[in-house]
Amino acid sequence: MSLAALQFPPRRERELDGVAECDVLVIGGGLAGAMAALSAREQSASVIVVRPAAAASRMWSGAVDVASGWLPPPCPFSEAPSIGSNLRHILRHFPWHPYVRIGEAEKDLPAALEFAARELPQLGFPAVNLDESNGIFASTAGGWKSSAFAARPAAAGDLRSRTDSKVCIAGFSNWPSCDAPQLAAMLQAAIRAANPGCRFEAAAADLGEWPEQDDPSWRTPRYLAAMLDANRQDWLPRWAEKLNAQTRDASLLLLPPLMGTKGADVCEELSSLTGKPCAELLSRPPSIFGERLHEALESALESRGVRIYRDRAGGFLKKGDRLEAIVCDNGEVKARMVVLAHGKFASGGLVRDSEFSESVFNLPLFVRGEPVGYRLPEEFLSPQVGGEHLIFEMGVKTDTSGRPLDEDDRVIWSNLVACGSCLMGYSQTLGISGAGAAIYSGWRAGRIAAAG
Amino acid sequence: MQLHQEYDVAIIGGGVNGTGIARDCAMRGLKTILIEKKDLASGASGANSGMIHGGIRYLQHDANTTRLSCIDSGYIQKIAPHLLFRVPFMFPIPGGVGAGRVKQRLLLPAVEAYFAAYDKYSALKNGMPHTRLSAGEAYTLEPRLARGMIGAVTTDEWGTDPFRLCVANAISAREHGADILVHTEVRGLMTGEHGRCEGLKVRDALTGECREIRARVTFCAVGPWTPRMMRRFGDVEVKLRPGKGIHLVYDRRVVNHAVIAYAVDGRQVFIMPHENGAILGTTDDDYYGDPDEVKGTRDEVEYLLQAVEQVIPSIRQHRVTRVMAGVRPTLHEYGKNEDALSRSHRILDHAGDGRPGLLSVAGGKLASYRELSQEAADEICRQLGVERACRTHLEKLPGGDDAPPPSELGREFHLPANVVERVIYRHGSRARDVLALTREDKRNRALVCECEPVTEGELRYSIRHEFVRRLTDVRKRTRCAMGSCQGCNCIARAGQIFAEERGLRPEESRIEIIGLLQERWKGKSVALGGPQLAVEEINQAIHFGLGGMNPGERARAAGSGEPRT
Repeated sequence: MSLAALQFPPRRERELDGVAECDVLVIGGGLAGAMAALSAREQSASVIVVRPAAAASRMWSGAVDVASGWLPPPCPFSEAPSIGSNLRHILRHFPWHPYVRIGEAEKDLPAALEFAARELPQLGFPAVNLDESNGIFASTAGGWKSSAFAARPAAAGDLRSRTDSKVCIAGFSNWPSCDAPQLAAMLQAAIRAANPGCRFEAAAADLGEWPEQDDPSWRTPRYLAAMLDANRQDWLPRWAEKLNAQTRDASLLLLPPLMGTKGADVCEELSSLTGKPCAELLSRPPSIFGERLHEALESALESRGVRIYRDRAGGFLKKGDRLEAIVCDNGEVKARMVVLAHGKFASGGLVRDSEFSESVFNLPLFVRGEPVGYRLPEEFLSPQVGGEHLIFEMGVKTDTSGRPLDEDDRVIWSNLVACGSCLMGYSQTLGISGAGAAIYSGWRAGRIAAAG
Repeated sequence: MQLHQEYDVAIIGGGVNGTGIARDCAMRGLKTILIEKKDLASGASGANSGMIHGGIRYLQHDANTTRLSCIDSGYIQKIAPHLLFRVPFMFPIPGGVGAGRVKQRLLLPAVEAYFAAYDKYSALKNGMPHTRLSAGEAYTLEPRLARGMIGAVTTDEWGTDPFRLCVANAISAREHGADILVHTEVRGLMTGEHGRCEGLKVRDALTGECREIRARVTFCAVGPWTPRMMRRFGDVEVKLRPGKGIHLVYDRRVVNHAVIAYAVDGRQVFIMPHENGAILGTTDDDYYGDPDEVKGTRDEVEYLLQAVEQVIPSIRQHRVTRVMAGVRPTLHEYGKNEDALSRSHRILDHAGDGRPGLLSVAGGKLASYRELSQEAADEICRQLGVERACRTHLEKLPGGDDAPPPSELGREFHLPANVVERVIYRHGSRARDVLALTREDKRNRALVCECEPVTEGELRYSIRHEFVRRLTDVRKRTRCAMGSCQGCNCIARAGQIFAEERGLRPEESRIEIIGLLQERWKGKSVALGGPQLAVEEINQAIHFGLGGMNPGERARAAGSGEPRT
């Protein structure tokens, strides 16, 4: 098949040339940055997003952690604490977490999540009830993960209520990134370990070879998903036939995360063809969920009238304690308020060469409230690979409205607000908050910036 | 594995010397067994520069070692041509300032004379003679060189994959009838009359099964572990002067050629392309610690960076993926600097210490492993009264026969040349056996490791045929998880393949995966910084955020209180 036959989303970014002006400039175009831009826009501010490339959000698994990871094994899913009680635990025991440092998370989180659901309709975020427990989702990394919710069509794969039923993981025999027999064995063992005595069963189903590609694993998930979009009339009935023959007694079908670039429609069609709920597994990077998130963010920004510039913020012009303009590689952006949402190490927001630093303003960095200064990385590392690595909790310390603080707790720039994973206490690797904290802090930063 | 009632020789240690001796003994028809407590090439054999070099560095102190290494390196090149690659070395001469300029101008002919002296040895291993480069030529070849060079001198060395070299020797030994036991530790020696060593008591480290192995001669080739092992089991004193050496491993080929630099204390160090990356080394410091626990330090990293910065000023901008550390089993001498110590070796017969039947070796280096093995096997044969000549320099190592060109195999198996080329490099003429698995199952065509690159088929071949007992053993045979991502993208999949091949339960495969992640972490954590920190953040998020390696446990550990419902 020719590349031209495949549909890829349009590029919505433009090049900065000279001086641009706006009310709110957002540095970084990941989940937190886009939320900030959209919420500032909702308050009628004019908004520019500057970002050098797609953010680390493009590696998104498909799940949104709001307050999770708090399920002590072995804790049966039926006895799992609610998201709200996990949240209250974070508020009490993680004083350095953004939920605690910024605003009133317990009160405002539902509004922030609702805002994200509204602005990103393609992803199909559900309404979140903090009194419920976290969802349980299987992933291509093996095992399960507890998260507040997942994007469509992974959402239908919630295993909370299926601990006594049989599910089927389907895979393509020449796409080993989703090795169905191995994943089924791992999932069954992990669910049974957490729910002693349950009758959970996971089986594998073989969809045969991915069509028309000798080596699909050498292609990106986005390429394969676009292939599927173009061929769905032919392929889906054949796959449904195979699934029907192999999964008679299963109550749920879990599919490789390749089911079209859009997200939900392919699974829905398979679901109606098989008569069973069909969901995608959460994905390791490179992930189609990340592609869909990126596309949803950019199209939301565009439709709300946010200008996106592909550029790297590298410095600033100031007047007193105010930032006048942000200097980028190809020009300057003058803004009344600046939102910093450029991420942690993976996105280049924080760097370490000879010492740790924040990459645009050289803001002081903190770990659990303590300044990092000239300390060496090994002071923040555990000897165990899966241990507690404080280095990934490193970030910018802020006041309650998100303004970065120095070592003496003084506001550094009166018109700068930080959000997302550049914040102290935000850790992707700790597995307690994740995308929920990005949505919350971004949403809030946008409102503060629009008002400020 | 079904063992023999009695062996002629039992060899302890699965490094390059142990496997080399096993091969030599087996080829001479001795009933041979090799016991290694971890995996092959776990000690110094797996933590070196990967050079089959003559050691121009040693020429100053130890010309005989240089000569022997060069002769032997010539042999290794003949028996394993697929595993060797040429590494041209460049010695850049800076211009100097003020009065130093005259001195530097005089230095160039002096360096050239030194390299000319090495030409004589270099020819023994088919190295090209030295050349003198103008400054312009040096910059063309190595654009990252520091400004202000007045010229450079080149010489020629050979690089290798030391892991594959050990594995190839072990496979050859097995094909000549030897038994190879990996992950099997020695628990004691069996003692007969007059203190005679009559074999070993061993324990399988993975199953816990204990066995007795009778052997007429026991040979201990455990490198820096020798003094401890001989004292503990043989009540014999062997003195070494262990020297710790570290290397920095880079994610890509930072340089086109090996470039020599001087450290602050005047020692020579170099940065050189190796596999799909580059390595920078090495240090040489007396080491008094446990060889099992050797680990690089930030001081050592800084020492090396400072040295190479003099010739490659941009070196700090490049990505160090890990730091590897090893311990040399250098011969003991008092009153010398580490660098001035002899790199030669000595076969020790402990009959004089009241332990007849027990032999060991001190010293040695990768480039002369074959020569050392020959001497050891000669001595073993002499004690057994066997008269058979050594043939290890004449018979090719497995895969050493002519390999088909990558383009031909690529066409035959419809695989890209860069993938086939790596299979040929690692397996030589046996590449076709590896690639044949792609016909058995299409999945075997998938790339598990994109950095090196490694296919599923090669992993499966390795797991089936190359003494793999743990997931982490796969790494050394295929370089999976050793490339620029350091396992971020491949470890989980490799773990699934291993689990499938071995029929492991999910809990067991989780242990294997965490074991390999931990092994990588040991080297990564020392030099974590720069862009590698970004990779590591993603790595941790994949394996511990999403991977379900231990959901909940980490968060619980991070909180100050107990979880409440």
